[in-house]
Amino acid sequence: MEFMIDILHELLSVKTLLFMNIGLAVGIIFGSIPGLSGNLAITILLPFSFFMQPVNALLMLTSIFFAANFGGSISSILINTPGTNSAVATLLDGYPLAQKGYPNKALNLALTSSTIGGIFSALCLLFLSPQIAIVALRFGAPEYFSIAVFGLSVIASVSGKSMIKGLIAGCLGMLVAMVGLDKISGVPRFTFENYHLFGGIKMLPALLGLFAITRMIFGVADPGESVTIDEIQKSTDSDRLLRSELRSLLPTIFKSAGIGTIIGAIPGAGGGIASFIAYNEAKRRAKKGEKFGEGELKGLAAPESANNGSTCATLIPLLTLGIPGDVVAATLLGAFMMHGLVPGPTLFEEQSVTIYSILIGIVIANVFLYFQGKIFLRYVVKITKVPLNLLTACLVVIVATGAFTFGNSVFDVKILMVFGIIGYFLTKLDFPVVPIILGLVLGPIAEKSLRNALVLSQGSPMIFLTRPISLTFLLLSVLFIVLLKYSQKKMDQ
Amino acid sequence: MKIRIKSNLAGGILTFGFAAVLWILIPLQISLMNNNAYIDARFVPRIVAIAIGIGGLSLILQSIFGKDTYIELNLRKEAKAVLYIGLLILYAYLLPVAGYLITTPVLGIMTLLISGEKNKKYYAVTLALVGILYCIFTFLLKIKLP
Repeated sequence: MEFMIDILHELLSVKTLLFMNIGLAVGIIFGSIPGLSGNLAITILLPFSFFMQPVNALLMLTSIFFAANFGGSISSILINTPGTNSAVATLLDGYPLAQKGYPNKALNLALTSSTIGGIFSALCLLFLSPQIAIVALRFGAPEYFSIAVFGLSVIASVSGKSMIKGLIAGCLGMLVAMVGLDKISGVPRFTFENYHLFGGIKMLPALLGLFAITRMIFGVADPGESVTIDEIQKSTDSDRLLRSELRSLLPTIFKSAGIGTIIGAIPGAGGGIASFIAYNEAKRRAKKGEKFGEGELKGLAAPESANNGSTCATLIPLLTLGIPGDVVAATLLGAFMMHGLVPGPTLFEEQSVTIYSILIGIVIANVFLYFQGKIFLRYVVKITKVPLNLLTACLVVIVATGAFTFGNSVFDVKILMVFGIIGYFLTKLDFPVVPIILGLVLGPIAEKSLRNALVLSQGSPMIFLTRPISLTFLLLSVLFIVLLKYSQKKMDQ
Repeated sequence: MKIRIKSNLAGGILTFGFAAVLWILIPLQISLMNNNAYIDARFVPRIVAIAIGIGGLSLILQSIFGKDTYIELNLRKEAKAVLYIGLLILYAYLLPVAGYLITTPVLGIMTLLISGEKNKKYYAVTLALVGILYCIFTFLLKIKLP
């Protein structure tokens, strides 16, 4: 009882709620502007957090983390430019839905799905952290390889008209991810003796180039043909999310939240993979008449629920084992330690009041995310009223600035432009761009895990088939591709 | 003036050519360390090169023996795209030399000019945005722009 009173005392203060909401607002803004990121926001606010109470400071920083994840979806839906790599799957159906004249519906569905996914995952974090961490620890190199293959099998469903072109695009993404020092042997690969390339090609400038700059080149060359802002402007009274629609989407949202939580708890997997796997699963279970890739509500709800589901789950290995799952989690690890909380098995015993205050606070913050998001969306949807030429000019300025500030490097601006140009020519030749991102995200995980697994098995590929989790994911990959081909054939007939 | 090209054939030739160049580049760009790994640093790049090559060849064969779609290129529009691509490359190279406050407004204005925009307000808004971004990053976020 005393324990609960201490927690409530920590949580229910004006200061705590204020800082939590500041974190949410900063996160949504940084996530929604292409080029800025949640990690940048956390890094910037970290020095200011030293002067705050640990609960206030850490709640503010973690709120930025998952609000930025939702913010990334806003630009995905409205301008076809994902703010984060977790939001790439969102644009597959989010942008077409906005183009059809339903930007409000798309944004509200993204917000609702993100909130549900976030709360689901936060509750899992609160009640099931130790158990999930044990399962996540069972993932060794063969399991990582199989999960990456499963993620790569999504290429089959996002390739559009030609699967061959999708596979080539996926391979190009994998190739780009190989640039830099090889993680296992340490030898440079495709660096052309340019020291900037030794660290590899950063994801964000490449992402912005492929989506934003490509779109801008199309927009400048032919303003009438490219982005259908006019169509978005025709948003009608029916552009709102109906309760009946939301009710029918709840099973997809909860299932995707579960997928996001499990994938997010695996260190290194992250929201990008989670959202694509959830999208994949929703597409696999598609009923007759559901057109994925053309503004299907399930195609938007699934990745949104999964990517926010994965954010809180990323904190599971971080808090229970001290393993940061991604770059943002690593920054948060630093923040926890600077505030005297050392993540690991003893954290929940030694700092129980502080840590449980933060965990319950995360659940509350996810509820606040919904209300703050509602206010933000009211204004952010007005972007669809901005004339196309002005929007293109403003975006090129924002994206170029964002690419520079991301790594404080002019080289990232060059990467941005190069990827924009590559994206333009590939799109001209009808190559899909999304598989490049899949290759870029999953390629390194697949390669590293493959090589590590073969070291473990002394060269025998049977290791992938003799471990149950690995075998399950490989079978799921095959099953997914077969079912997809079968359902496509049926639909064609 | 418009020209028509076969999408699969052009894509196939380009990717097959790229795969061939990649195959030659792999031994030149990836040195081998004498380690005991079962797969060396060249293995996966080679698999990727083969996959791209097979994909390219399949597209060529699909175009010759199966169906192909035509892409219509309007040379006037393509010239605008090439001009804009040139501008983007120039921006990336001039940014560290001329600085953010000179190159970025020029990029914004040129984007509007190439788009054929005549509304002067849009030019003012773009310039104001550059100023606002500069102030936010330099004074508020303490991130130094070039």
